[in-house]
Amino acid sequence: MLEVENLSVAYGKHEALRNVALRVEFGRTVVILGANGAGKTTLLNSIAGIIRARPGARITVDGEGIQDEPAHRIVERGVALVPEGRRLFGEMTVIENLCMGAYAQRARRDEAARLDEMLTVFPRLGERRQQTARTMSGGEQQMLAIARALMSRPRLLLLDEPSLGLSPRLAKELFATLRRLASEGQSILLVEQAAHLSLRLADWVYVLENGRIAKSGAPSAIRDDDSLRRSYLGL
Amino acid sequence: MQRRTVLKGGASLIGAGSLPTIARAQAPKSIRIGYAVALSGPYAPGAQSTTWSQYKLWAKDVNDAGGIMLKKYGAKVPVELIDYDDRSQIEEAIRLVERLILNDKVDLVLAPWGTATNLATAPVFNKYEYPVIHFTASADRVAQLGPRWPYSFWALVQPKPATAPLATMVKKLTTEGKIKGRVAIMHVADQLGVEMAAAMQEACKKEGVEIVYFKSYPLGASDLSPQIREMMALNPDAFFAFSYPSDTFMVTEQSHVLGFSPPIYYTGVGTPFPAYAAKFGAKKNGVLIYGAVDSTAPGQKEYRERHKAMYNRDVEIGSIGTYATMQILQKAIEQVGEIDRKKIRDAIAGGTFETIADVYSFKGQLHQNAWAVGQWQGDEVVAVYPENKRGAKPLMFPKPKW
Amino acid sequence: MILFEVVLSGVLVGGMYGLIALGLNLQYGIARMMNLAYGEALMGGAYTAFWFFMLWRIDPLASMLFSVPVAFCGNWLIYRYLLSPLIRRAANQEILEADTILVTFGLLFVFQGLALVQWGGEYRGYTYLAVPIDLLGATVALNRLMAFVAAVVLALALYWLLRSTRLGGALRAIAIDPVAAQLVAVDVPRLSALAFAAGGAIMAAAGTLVSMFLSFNASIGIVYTLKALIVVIMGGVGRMLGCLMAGLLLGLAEALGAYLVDPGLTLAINFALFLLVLLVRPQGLFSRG
Repeated sequence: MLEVENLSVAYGKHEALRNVALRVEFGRTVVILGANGAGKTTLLNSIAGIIRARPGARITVDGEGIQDEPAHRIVERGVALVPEGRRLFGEMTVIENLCMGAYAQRARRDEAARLDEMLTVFPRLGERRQQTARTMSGGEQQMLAIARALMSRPRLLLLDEPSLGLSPRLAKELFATLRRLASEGQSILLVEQAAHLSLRLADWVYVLENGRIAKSGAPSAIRDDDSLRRSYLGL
Repeated sequence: MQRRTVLKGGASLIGAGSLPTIARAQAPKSIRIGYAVALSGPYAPGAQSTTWSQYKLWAKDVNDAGGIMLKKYGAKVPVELIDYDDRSQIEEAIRLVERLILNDKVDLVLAPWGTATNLATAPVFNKYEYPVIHFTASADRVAQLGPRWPYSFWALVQPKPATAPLATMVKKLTTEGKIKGRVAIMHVADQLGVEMAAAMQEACKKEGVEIVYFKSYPLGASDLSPQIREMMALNPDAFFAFSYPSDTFMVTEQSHVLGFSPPIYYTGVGTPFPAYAAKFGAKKNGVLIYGAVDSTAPGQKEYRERHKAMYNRDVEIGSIGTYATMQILQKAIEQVGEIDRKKIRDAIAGGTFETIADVYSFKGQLHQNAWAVGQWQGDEVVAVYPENKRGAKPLMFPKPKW
Repeated sequence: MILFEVVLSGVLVGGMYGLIALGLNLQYGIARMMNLAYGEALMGGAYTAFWFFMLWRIDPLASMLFSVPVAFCGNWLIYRYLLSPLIRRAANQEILEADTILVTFGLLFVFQGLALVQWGGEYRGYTYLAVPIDLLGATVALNRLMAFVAAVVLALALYWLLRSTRLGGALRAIAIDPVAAQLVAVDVPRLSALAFAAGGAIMAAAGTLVSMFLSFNASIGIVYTLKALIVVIMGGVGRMLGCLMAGLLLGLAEALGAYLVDPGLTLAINFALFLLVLLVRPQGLFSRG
């Protein structure tokens, strides 16, 4: 459903991404592995429309180009990003954050039902409806960020290092939730450094190095690749 | 900051045409006169309506008449204005005045707008010995500065002579049994307001007049009704506000609303403005005013018409006074017959000048016996004090109740 | 009794401070543009009311039907064509702020200059609804009372809009984090322009109301811009009720200080209060957290 071709992004003279191509099939979970500074965040941000790609790039959702659309239109197309650092509305309550998630036209109609659904998927949020977002713990904030993105009923969920800053136990819990979403048919594009957990989730894996796709394959193939094992799995 | 050169061309041709055939020293092409006033920033409105507009009008009047007669050359020479915008900044004004004198090498300079700017630029004028008649400046200090600044002349009424007649008036009305003589004074906490109020306080003391209320309020105050109520509780029968335009308007309207209507009601800058008349209509009748001009002075009627034709608005007395200073300068130049700044200075210092505002004569460079107090009588601002001057009208008392 | 009248006077003036701060809060708090030409909308509203009244005897309140939409459109155009290009150009927030301050400072001079050329520098004022009204035994002018009521109604309406509507939520989201707002499908450029334009429209309305009881001239705008800025910073950037409260507090402090201490100290009290807030609660009196 998502196809990226020839995606290059530059910050001034520094080229952050070069000719990246990837695809996410409907209902699948795709993981992009990469070290710090490999261009993972840039990749997700340019798909979400926050950063403009260089001319010539083509990003399509179900065949329609979105590379020139503003960010808010891309959400309406069904692509929601859980950004790096979560970017919650810190002064708003949990409920207000979730309702903002349903601001998109596509999600307004059955906002209430979706809200109930989210509070079941993330029971912790249900307990803290009126709490101000910024006073919550890191794990709860991450849950809220994901739930907020899901409120827009995205066809594709983009996640930018959701495990960052979480304890191993919380990270496990988070990935369990993601697995559940995936099993319910949610398409996911996840960028991560935490290879162990994400490889278990992935249907397909891309490896991003210095702004280029260095390798791609099924998780098992990546696990068997010696050089990758050293770089990403620390084995 | 832009430089503009105005009004020459045609006028200089007329000057050239009238040259006699006998060989004389070559007359200058024009008399170059420079000034820096605020055309932008907070001073701009005041500077533009009181000062800048009058310089322009005067230059037009002079050049329409062929220029200023310079006897030495036996020719009329047009004036050329060189103007700068000091952006309401005093340092900029000082810099620009030096630039006019040193770079542009102007023949004469004109005063800026506002007490502070005038006081700050006066040392520069005096350093380079350029005679200047200051108008929009009133501070007790200038009386003492006379000897140090021989090239600066001060044409506006200064705080002490501006307030002394007021205290005398209250004293007289009290003695006659017309009022109880309870005086309320409020003033804006800015240089002019402070000096005027202090001078008034002193004058009242000298006359033995009782002050029941004496307080300041800040520049830009947005409500004076608590102060008015406080005064009303004290039941004064003479009220003096040494105010600036916006507070003049406000205190007057709030007095109307609260029903504060003592028989003597005096307000400061802004009272004689056309806008004041437009806003308050018949209620202005009897209100006393800071400063005045002799409305019967020769040429004033024609001047008002020319002003209306050029700017399409009525004139206020500050503008008339400013224009009068230009007339003094012009007469002094014509008397000297050439551009010799020392001689022009001496001519101003020693002469008596009939103008559209007043008859001016300077002593210690200070205009003596200047108009101090005016009053709205009907639809006209008349001069009331000093009462011994030509053109003074008797005081209207009491002010009609609102 | 006189103390009650003093308090009342403070409340009325404070309401006006709150009103002028509301619009700036929309522009600075939500559209994130420090608009130094903000007060020029007040000047425009005041001149419109004045000329409509003097030339054609049109009720100043009715003149708002003209000045408010014009100010809205004018501010929208300013945002759209002068300020938003700066967003695209600026490398970071600091550069953007410096750029907007420079551009709007220039605008201030343009508007002030136009008003000077067009209408001259003199003070203007007219008399409208300068009618004494008895309020619990105290006398107040009807025009001041009306400006106060307008301020309260507008503040409450804005508060309700921001708290209880979807549009308001989006505006608050922009105020908190414009990038995050985009990620939940908020059309940030469009709504920012809307907030900016609405801010200008409020200021024009304030200008109409203020012109009923205070005289003004071509250079009056910056005075109100600075006043509004002080109130916004005191009340909290982006907080509408906080803004109204801070305005009331300032008005009350001024009136009480003038009565109990000395009227000449009003300005000093003003700045003392401002500094105190900056020292004790730099995020504003009424901000959460």
